[in-house]
Formats: sequence, C-alpha cells, structure tokens
Amino acid sequence: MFGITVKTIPAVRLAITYRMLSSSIPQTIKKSKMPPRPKFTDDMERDIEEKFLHGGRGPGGQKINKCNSKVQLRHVPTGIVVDCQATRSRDQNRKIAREKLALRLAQWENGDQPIERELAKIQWEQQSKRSKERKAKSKHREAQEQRQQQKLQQTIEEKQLLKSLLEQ
Amino acid sequence: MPRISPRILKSVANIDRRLPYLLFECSGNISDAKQELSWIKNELQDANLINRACWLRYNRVPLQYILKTQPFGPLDLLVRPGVLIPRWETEEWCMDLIAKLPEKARQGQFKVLDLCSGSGCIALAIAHTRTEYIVKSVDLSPKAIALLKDNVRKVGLQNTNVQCIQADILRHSEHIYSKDKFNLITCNPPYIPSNNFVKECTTSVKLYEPRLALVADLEFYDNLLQYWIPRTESFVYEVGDMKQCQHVINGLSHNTSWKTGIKYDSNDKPRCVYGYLANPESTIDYVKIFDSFST
Repeated sequence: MFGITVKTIPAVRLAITYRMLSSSIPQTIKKSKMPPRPKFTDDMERDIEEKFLHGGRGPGGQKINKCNSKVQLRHVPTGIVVDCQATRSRDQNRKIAREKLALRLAQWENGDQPIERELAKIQWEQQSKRSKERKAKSKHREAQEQRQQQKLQQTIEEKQLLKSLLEQ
Repeated sequence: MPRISPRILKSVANIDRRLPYLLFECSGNISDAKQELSWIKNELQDANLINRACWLRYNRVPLQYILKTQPFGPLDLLVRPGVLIPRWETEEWCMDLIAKLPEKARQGQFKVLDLCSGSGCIALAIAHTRTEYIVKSVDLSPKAIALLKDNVRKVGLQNTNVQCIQADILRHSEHIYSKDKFNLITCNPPYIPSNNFVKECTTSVKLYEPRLALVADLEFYDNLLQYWIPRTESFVYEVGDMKQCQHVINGLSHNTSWKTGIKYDSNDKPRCVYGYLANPESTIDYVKIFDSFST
C-alpha cells in the first residue's frame, strides 16, 4: 500500500493515513437512527393505476373460493410496475405494494442506484456481523486464558505435592 | 382437476415435502402453492398442525376453514364450516360502497339492513367504519347467526348499534323488523342456479361450503321486489349473472321513482345490482352515493 512516493510527498502520506483511518474505523450506524423509509405521497397516489388480479377467466363469485388477492400498481409517469400478494388481506397487500413502489421510485430518482437507507442497512449488517465476530473472538480468548491459568495452577499444585512427597 | 406429473411433484417435494399436497388445490401453480405454505406457516406455529393443514388442503378443505379466519377489508373475521366464506368480490363492492356512504350521519339517522348475512362481513364492515349507523342483519342459518355474534365480539362492536336475528326472509319478510324503514338494504343472497351448481362450482366449494348459502335463482330478487322495495330507500344486491340483474331492473322499470344500475367487479363480471330513490323522504343524497359507486 505504501508506495515509494510516500516518503517524498507528505500530503499523499497524510491522505493515505486518513483513508486508512476511515476504512479501519467505519462510522457506526444505529438501528434506531436509520435514514427514513421512502414515503408514499399523495402525489404518487394520483399518478398510479391500481389493478386487482384474481386469475382472470372462469366463474367468479360464490362459485369459486380464492384465497389470494394480488394487487398491482403502475406508476404512469415512469412506467414502474410493482405487485404484492404477500398476505391474504387485500388491504394489507395494498399497503405493502405502496411501500414497495415508494422504494422503487426513490431508487429510480437515484439513477437506479441503491438509496441511502439500503446502503445504511448493508453497512449495519456488516457492522453487526463484525461485532458478532469480535465478541466470539474475545469469548474464545477469555476461555483459552482461563484454561491456561487452570493448567498452570494444576502444574504448580502437582509440583508442590511432589515436593512435599519427596521431603517426607 | 388437472393432472400433475410425478416429475413436478418430486421436484417441489425437494423444496418442501409438504408442497405436493398444496399443489392440487392450486391447480399445479408452484408459486401459488409456495405462497399458501408461507401463509399456513405464518398462522400455525406447530409443525404437526402445519402438516395437518397441508393434508386437509390436499382433501380440498378451504384454506379459510383451516386457518379459521378471513380478512375482509380492515377486519379479520372468523369463519367456520357451515357458513359461506366471504369472497373477494363481495369485499370489493362492499368497501367501494362504504367509501361512498356519507360519513356524518346524525346518531341513528342512517339505518342499514343486511340480509343473508352469513359471517356478517357486509354488516360488520359497515358498522365498523360508520359507527353512527344502525346496522341490523338477518340470516336463516343458526350456525351463521352464532358465528355472526362471535364476529361482533371479535371486531369489538358488542356495545354498538348492531343487531342480528334468525329468520327466513322468503317466508316471513313482513314480520322482520316490521316497524322499521331502512336507508339501505345490502344482501349477498345465494345465486347459483341448481342446474349450474355441479357444472360451475369448484370441488372445494361443492364439498365443504353450505349449499343453503349457494343455490337459488331468482327467489331472493323476487323477495326484494315484493317486500323490501316499499321499506327502503336504496339497495345493493350481489348477483351471479346478467339475468338476475335484468330481473331486478325490469321489475322496477315501471316504477319511475326508482333508479337502478349494475356494478362490475375487477374481473369485468356483473357483480351487483343497485337501486335508489331519486327523491327520498330523508335528506340523504343517494344520487351522489351511487353515481360514484357504479364506476
């Protein structure tokens, strides 16, 4: 990482140290202080076409008992389509579909790049994974130290026992 | 019943060994079967119960009877064998109608009667969202009335203006709430003609849902024309086909004070016939309600 030039140009060295610092100590993210979820606004509500899909053809009404209700939303200005049939409740599916659409629109506005919240989420996951690893490591280290100490104590005791036996 | 090849059954069994049981009722659609399994897993925690549910689904028991509930608009209603499961079509028109009903009715001013209530979905959805309304409901089946009362409690409306009685409207219409005049009558009557029943209903419906709530032709629409029209200012009746719509519309065509119309569901099938008085005694603007309801 340290090139030959580093010795001669202090500014570069500074930049590298800075970068190293920032990469080794990432900014911690709190789960309670995530960037907000994109909101579904009234403007969006005006721009969408909502469709309910129940498998089209065939008899309906009392003749058939379907338990799924798929909701499809189309955002007319952008042509983005999302659908949802995650739950059995149409009300619930409508809400979830709107959240999904708000997220997709936020991504679209960001040039199809993941939005701030998603990045934060990824970082949060990495962070929690790292902290888990750290905890596991320190736990192992502690256990190992304890074991070593026990061993040491045991050998001391054995030595003393031997000593006392020999002295007799 | 579609034939599902053993190869497909084997491949879905590799994903989850319970999936093949669900595949039959989903007419071979794998993603539908997966969806159903995830609902079952969500609502039943015990592995034995989940396995049993899948076995029951293989025997074509409606999923709603297994999970014991069915969402209806904002409500989560109990369902039980012996009472018809609320359909999405009913939910659709019912929620559309409720959105159009006036929000500010003076206490006890707006009276709704729900006939053939079954689980009580329509009555309870109205009573839940329009709490000042007086809602009365009637059903013939004692099982339905028992379930309806349980649902009133489940939704938390036991201290409100919801009443239900058991009565046969085809025989004793004149004695039911005989002193009341209503602003709105809603009804989801049985509407499958008996000669179509075997041909058009799915196996699950034929085996497990009450025939009482399914099979009839024009009886309930005749009953509407004869007994209920003089006692209400508007009505919404669910229908199975165009013939039943026409029957009601023709029956009221000589009566110039009544306006009628048809509402289609999102599968483009005629689903409701409605009617209202253009110049009612009350101050409620039915034209406004039903103009936007029909579209």
